[in-house]
Amino acid sequence: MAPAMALSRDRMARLPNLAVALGRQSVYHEGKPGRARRASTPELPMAALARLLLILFVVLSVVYVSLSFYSRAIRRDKLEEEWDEEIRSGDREAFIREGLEEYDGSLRRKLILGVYIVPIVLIGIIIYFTNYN
Amino acid sequence: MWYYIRWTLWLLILAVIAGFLHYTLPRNDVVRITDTYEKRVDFGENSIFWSHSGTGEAVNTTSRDVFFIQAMSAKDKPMVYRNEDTGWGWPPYFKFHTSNLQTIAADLKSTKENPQWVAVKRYGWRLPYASIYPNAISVKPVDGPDARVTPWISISILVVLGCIWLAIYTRWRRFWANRQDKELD
Repeated sequence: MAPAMALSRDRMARLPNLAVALGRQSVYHEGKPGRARRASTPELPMAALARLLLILFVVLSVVYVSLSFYSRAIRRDKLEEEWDEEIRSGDREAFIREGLEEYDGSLRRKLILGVYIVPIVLIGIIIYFTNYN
Repeated sequence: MWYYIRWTLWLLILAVIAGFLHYTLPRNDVVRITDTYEKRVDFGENSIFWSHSGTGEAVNTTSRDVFFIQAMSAKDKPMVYRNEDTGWGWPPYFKFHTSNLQTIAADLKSTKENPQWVAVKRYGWRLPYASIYPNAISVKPVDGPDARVTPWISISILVVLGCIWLAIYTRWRRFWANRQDKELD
């Protein structure tokens, strides 16, 4: 077994709460005589919500980073095209660098943050319409 | 030969995606609620077709009580819905009001002689062979057995998914076309 795996097993054993929250272990201890069939430890409050937020954060971060790179590459292509077809004088690299610096501070780039905001707002709307309507 | 293998694979992938969407997206049934009840369910092989929401109760239990809603369609076909929280889990309906919904459903019970038709919004399948029930999301009174409920939510989700797919697909095609152009140059 890989050392990392062994370590995480060990950690699971010492932190039953975490193991339960991650779904690796049943909350019931079975087959122990004289012991009531009940949850051995109180669960982490809102563990399911925490898991959802964690997954959402990871997935949306991947989308955010990909979109950022893609958008910047598109901007660079457009700047190169502009220089090649219209300007054709002076320093090409400097022109592109300035254009990208301008893009870095632009609203268009900040709009990509909507990748995080839109799903969270959507979740709020769904919760409202499912449960209070 | 490869032609057939490739197409079989594509059709398989398509069938899995279509099945997944068919299971997950909400649909409406116009039915008459005959009864509501609560039954203990021991989860077995069909465990993934039951909800495992962490809404304050213990998770990973192997059995618990589940609310059910019994109904009859206009064509006198029986339909049984389960009524379970989906909580913060999949599918993302964020349903927490199971007990309230059961109360509303019980309130809308009616007889064959004096029917009260309702639209049950639900997702999932009814598979008697594996004891699988669709999950009811909402229950709303409608005028009659012929009432049509347009599934706007499913339509918008499909349109959005189609747009995302198209956006990625065209960029993918353009990317490879550009690469080929560069190689030819």
